[in-house]
Amino acid sequence: MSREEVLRRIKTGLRGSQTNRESKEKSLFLSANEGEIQGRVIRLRSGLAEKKWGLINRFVDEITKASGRAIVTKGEDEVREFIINLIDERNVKSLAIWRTDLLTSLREFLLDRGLRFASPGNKSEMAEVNIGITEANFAIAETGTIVLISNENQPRSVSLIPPIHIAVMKSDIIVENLDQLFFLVQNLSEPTSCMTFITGPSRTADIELNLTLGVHGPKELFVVIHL
Amino acid sequence: MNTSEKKHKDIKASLFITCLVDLFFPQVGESIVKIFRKLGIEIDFPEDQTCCGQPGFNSGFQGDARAIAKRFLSIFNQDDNRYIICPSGSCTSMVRVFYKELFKDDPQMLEITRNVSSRIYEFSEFLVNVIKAEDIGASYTGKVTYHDSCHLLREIGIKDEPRKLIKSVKGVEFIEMNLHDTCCGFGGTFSIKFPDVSASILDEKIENIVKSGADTIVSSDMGCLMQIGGALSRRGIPIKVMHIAELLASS
Amino acid sequence: METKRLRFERDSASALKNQKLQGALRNATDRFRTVREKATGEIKDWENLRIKAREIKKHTVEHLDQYLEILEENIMKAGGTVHWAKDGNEACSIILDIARSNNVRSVVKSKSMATEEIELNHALEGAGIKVVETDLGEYIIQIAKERPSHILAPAIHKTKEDIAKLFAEKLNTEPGLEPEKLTNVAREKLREEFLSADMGVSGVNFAVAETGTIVIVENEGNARLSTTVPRIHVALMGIEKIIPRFEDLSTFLSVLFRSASGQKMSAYVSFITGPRRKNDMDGPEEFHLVIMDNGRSEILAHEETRESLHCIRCGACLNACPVYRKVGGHSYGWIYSGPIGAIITPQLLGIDKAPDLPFASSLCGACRDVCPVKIDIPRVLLELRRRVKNNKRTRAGFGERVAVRLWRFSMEHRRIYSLFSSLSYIVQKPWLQEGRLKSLPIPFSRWTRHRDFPPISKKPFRERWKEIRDSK
Repeated sequence: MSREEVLRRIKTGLRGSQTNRESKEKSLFLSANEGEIQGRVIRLRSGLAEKKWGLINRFVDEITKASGRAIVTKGEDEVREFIINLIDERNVKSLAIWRTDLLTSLREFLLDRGLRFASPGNKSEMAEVNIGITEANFAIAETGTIVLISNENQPRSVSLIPPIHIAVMKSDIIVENLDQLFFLVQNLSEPTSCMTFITGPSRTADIELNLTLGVHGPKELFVVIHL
Repeated sequence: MNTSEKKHKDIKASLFITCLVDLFFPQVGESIVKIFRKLGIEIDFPEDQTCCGQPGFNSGFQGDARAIAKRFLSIFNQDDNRYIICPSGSCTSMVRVFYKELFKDDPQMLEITRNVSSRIYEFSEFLVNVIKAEDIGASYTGKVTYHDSCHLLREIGIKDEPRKLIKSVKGVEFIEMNLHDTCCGFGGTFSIKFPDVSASILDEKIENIVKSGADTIVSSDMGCLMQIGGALSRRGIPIKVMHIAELLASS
Repeated sequence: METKRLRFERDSASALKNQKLQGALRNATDRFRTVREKATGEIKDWENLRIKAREIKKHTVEHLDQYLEILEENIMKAGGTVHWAKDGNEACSIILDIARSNNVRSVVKSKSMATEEIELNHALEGAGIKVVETDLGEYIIQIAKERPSHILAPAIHKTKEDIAKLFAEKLNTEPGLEPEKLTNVAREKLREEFLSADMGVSGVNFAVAETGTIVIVENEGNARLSTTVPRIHVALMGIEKIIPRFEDLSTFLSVLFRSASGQKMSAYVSFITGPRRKNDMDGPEEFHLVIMDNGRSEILAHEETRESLHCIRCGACLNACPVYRKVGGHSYGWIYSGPIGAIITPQLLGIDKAPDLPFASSLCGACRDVCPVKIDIPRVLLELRRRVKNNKRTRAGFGERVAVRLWRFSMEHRRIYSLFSSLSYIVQKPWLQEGRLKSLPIPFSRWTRHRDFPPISKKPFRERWKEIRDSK
């Protein structure tokens, strides 16, 4: 079998070299204990809370540099106002939205306004959607990145197929850097089929290295920060 | 003059001339001797020396390179109180960096290699880092630009030292050219194995030298200067080509 | 796959004469270098990050079999299927089988060097399956029926006018479109393909053993679309793409983007662990990972060149290389170009298929300076040069062997060396013009073709020494 053959070739190739090969019994992964991890999570979270404004400012700076637009709002009203204005401006007919606690009242508000939502599982419906609205589960200040974790209420295509993507996020989910992000994701959320980092709208420099925005993914990204 | 004689009277050196300097640019060797005498450092020339073996090593002929390296080590190991001075970054790196690879399976030779490697220095490196002499009292009127040769820059790590020396020369206006640390395209046998590629890389180097406005190009490797000088003379461009030792020996 | 022997001198000749390409290469490599310098300069301990990345890769490669088994286990736990391929042919067969057994009629592909290595498109098309490259640069060269010329920007050798003309000819667009419009055309055409394709094929930037996650980085969104919309997702990876832990991604993503395109982060990074879950509304129903050897275990077996497997395909070495800057990607004869191409092509195809490549370098070391995982490319090149000379099929020809013998003999015998130098002084006289040698016979003509050669001095230094020694 090819599996055995490939593994055999590797083992043979490594035999006799000066490497320190640990035995199979000893785990290659050092696992910290549960309590230790929880302690680190708490310390990290409180440290981040202290730096809140610095993080928000850094995040807004970086995502703006990446051609995304960040809107800082003080409450649900401002969030709704921004989204409704955009919908009117862009002549939006169809939307898609995640089903999360944060987005529940927004969803109802939009439904009341007579707007309709496509089913993310339906390709032809999704193809007509103008704006996809998601939450951001985490954000990284250093790079201006939002992190989306997919699951049954948070489908992937909402942030992917429509030409405009709006991500609503609470301001306390911002971490400083990649190290912190991977630590929290690994220890706080359930592993799902897909996690996505999004840093600005889609882009290419394949033609003469000239930057063009809006290739296959969304042409515009709006991040609405809920203080 | 007297103070420097006294300061350096305990330092003894041997000159590793390198084949290119010996055969094609002997004046570089003469400049080095002149400078060392000015500094009061005794320098000798082990007459049996020939080559460090690098051309063979770089071309994949390890056995041949090893034979020549062995000979080199036996000659320069005869007096291990002497520094070994070399007017070439690439030959210096051959001894200091690559000899231990050639002899990695031979503990006895490895020991000799360690001894010799610890004493060998490229010329400008020796002046600035060992005897701390940045101003040799030279004078030369001209606009000088410097080409960083690859081995000296990346294997030995020398970048500021030659610049300090050049800037200390009275009458010199130092100009940094664009892409000064990009290869000139020599690469030893590369220049005749792939001459068109080598010449194309050289074209851009010449372009940058000319654009800098300098009237003199200085470097620490005659290989590079052969490559650069060869193009300048072919095109009739009147920019002077000098090894750094020649510049420092000017008055 | 390639059976012909690659010839660097011949393949680079036309590139050197092509003024347009020369301009494009200079532009592109200058740009990439500038942004890379800026982006890496922003990180305080960039050097330590590189060292860390190298150490993780070194450790991983030295335990490769163990990590691959862990990866397989975790992917299966997540509902994915793992296939193993000894070589490119087998990888194509596996992917074809998956396609056939699912009645796949069309495939959307995101950029993957590994799939080009095995000529997957050719295999799929041969079976009557439509394949569409969705990465804009790859889409352009697919239409043009050319090979990529740079790891990151495959169409770098084409000007925007070239591309506008290409689109007008092949896609019936208006002539002379600007890049923004060209991009829009691609977006619309490819949108239909994404929505109707049965299968998406991608590469893998990193495969995390600990969690069974594969990571794909991109800017356009085509990889996300190819791996979300179609019912089946097939990912192809070389065995060396694996890293041990989820947290290691922090190190690798930090060094990858800055080295490759000078960004802090690409527009999208997808972290995929298996197919869609039971109640998910979208995502592929099936996830297949094809783990491919195709010569990599052979590289692994040689300790002196093993670090070739550390490569994360960032392309920084291409942009730093003075040779690549002049000859471009096509001169290297295969899909991997630049310094990394010069070391892995001979190892993957066989040293007898690419004996020129290890010598197509001035050993300047600029590549080593920028490699995010600190591969000592010059060292590997030197080792490969030794292999070429020691291989029966590629060793030195008669002329070179004679030259080396003569060189060695004269260097081992000082008097012979001196004799040769005196002889050369005499022999060179007929060729001296104005004190320089302007044209010389073969093989020295290769030098004098482009530049003058200095004459051998009448009195070499060692003769002058006799006088200097005694003077003061």
